[in-house]
Amino acid sequence: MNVVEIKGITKDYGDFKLDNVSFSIPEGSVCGFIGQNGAGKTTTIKAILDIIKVDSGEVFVFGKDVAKEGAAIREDIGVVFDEMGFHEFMTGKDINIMMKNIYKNWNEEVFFDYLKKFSLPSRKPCGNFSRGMRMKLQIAVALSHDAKLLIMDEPTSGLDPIVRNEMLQIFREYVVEEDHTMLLSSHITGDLEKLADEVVFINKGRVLLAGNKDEILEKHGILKCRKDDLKKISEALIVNYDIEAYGVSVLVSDRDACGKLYPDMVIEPANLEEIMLYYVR
Amino acid sequence: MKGLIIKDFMCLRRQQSVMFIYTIIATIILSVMFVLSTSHGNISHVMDGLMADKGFTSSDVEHIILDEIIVFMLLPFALVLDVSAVILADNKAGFSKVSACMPITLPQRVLARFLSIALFSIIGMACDLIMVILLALFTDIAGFMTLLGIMVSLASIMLIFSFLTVMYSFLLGSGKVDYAQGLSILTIIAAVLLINIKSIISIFKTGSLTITSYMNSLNSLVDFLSNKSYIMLIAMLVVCGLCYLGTVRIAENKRGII
Repeated sequence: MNVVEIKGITKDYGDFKLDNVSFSIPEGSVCGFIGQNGAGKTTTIKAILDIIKVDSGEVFVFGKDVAKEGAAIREDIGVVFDEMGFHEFMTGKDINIMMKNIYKNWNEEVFFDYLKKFSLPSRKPCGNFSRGMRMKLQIAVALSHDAKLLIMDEPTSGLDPIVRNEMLQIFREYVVEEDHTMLLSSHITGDLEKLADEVVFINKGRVLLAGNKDEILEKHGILKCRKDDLKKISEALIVNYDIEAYGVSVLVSDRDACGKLYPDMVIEPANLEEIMLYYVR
Repeated sequence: MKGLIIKDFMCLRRQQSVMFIYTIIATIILSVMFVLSTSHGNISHVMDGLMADKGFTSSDVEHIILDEIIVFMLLPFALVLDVSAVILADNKAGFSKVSACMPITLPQRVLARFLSIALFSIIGMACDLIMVILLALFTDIAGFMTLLGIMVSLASIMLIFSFLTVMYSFLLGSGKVDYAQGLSILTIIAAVLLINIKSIISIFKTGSLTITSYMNSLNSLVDFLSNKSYIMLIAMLVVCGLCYLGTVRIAENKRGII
């Protein structure tokens, strides 16, 4: 079963257009949503949450149309943004009072357990928290109402490596439950490579790649050759290339096929960052 | 929805609590001073003088005093119904993206803000009620019902102002709440001018504003606020309904921006 199913959504802002975006996220998986800043990640997330009205297309979450049942669907979604949206004077206790009057499934015991686990003081205004603490507070809120889907928009950006690792561990613990699904938007591909099962790569409002992460990594490769050999490579296999001082690096979309067609050329595995860079170049 | 109302109260408590305590204390002190002064002090002497030397009637004098009381009574409302404090706090925190992810529909979010404002006004009314009781018990200026009528009228006017401010702040964006307040004041002034257009034209036709016509206007204003508070209450309910519908419409059109 797909927890999120996006079918051809379009949203035109004039200077930016989300163009016919389609992808799905299977239940129990972690979907890494990759793209440059301004590629359309946040707009897509807003469409999933029914925060924006799309011009065309449909979004289904838990099999329900978000345009019709957005509010009810959001009961089971936990959201973490890159910036904390709580008032700086609010303490953990204040947030608990507010949230328990909003979410039907709010569990204050779980919330205070998370605060304790994350070493967050419940009586201190969150305005005094560091960036890492603010992110942890958002995660505590997102995980305290039994959310089945966790959506995170650039949660690790601007965090130091230690806090980032801590957060990735929290996400890993969350997805241990079979019915827990996660959409993790980031331009830090290293984090996604460690965590994601699925990958959606968006650029200039269009989905360039979507599918299983391991399959994408297995399929793509970086072929190293001389400048003269570039012409020999089938154009259908070339995603993009980079002319360097001693030769050319070519990102190919089918590593196996290239290996058979050009056995004398070296093909190295590509990581998500390299794939992203070659696609957008 | 209840959670959003609680959050609004938290914002009000945070932003205005100190000012609010000062205002309550100041209002009570002013009321007591006013009571003493109208009985034995300067106000009493001035009023006696106005009646003896200027030909003012006792009704005129009562209305002048009531006019001053209206200003005192307006203070608690002006403070608790300063909805801009809450709107600006939300804007500063970026709370709109948090609330947009909550299991609440957009009309419910707008309704929560309107209900918060209505509940804020109860605090203002509670403060005014202390003053009304003090004045009714210890002075002969006006009866309890007259003062209560003024209180209801003032609450209605301030609620109209707040509801308009919410609607305009959705229209202009939460960062421009000052402009929204300015527009609300202009809207209320325009409505008052339109309602009184005949009297205004007649003043312009006669070419002068005599003390008698001024006193008549003042008396009729005070009488209106005290005796016809139900009209203000109905007007407030109508404006509330229209502003709610208007705000929901604007919010739907600007979904994703606000």
